[in-house]
Amino acid sequence: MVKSWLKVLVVIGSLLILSMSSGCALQMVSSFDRQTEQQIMDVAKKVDRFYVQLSELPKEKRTFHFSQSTYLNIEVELSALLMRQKVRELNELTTKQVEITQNLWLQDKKQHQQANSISDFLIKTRKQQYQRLFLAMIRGEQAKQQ
Amino acid sequence: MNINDLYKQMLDTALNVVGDEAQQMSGPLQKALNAQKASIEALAQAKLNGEINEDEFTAELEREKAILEVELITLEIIAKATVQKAINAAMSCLTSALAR
Repeated sequence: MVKSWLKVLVVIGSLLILSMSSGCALQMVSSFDRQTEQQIMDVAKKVDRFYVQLSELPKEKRTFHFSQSTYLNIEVELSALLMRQKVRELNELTTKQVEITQNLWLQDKKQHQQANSISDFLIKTRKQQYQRLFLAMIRGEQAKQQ
Repeated sequence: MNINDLYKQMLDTALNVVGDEAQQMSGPLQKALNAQKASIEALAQAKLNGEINEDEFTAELEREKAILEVELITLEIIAKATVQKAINAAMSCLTSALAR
């Protein structure tokens, strides 16, 4: 117990010395970026609208052709979001979150293309899953606020 | 200047910041775990109802892992931001004390 506290103190002390010598505040994560927060909210809204629209269609009309342009639009928005994250310093964690989300989106596009339809169960599940993903990203970005 | 008092003050300042953020950490963790639990339960039910087959069930579990990873990354960001705030609060306390 005492040893682990000593370790914590040594780490804090080292960081303090480092911080004093560099003459600036310690930075471990990227600074809060309002535009990123807004971009995440915008794409979250579009994904939500997409699944709500699909759920209102009869199953036989939920073809890939009907959804193709929305898949592409959201894919482009996620790429833009990823690009913005990659150019920010100390931002590997948020970048990883966007990469995972983008990969899931591409998987869903492929799955819809192969099946050429989507069930009520999958629509409900995807809607909830993307809400969780975007909420996690928003909470992560907001935690960077000083 | 009493160095012991100064370090105690610095540590108190840092711990106060961490204390304020502890709630911020536990909330998202609990929410992430609850959301995943609900999701897994819904998947198991869907499999029982025949809405998804074994392969789809396995693929959905893989997705759940990826989603949980995104949610846990948020906790990592919160933890780093918290340490950053604590260290900077302690440094600011030290700088103020030295400037007096």
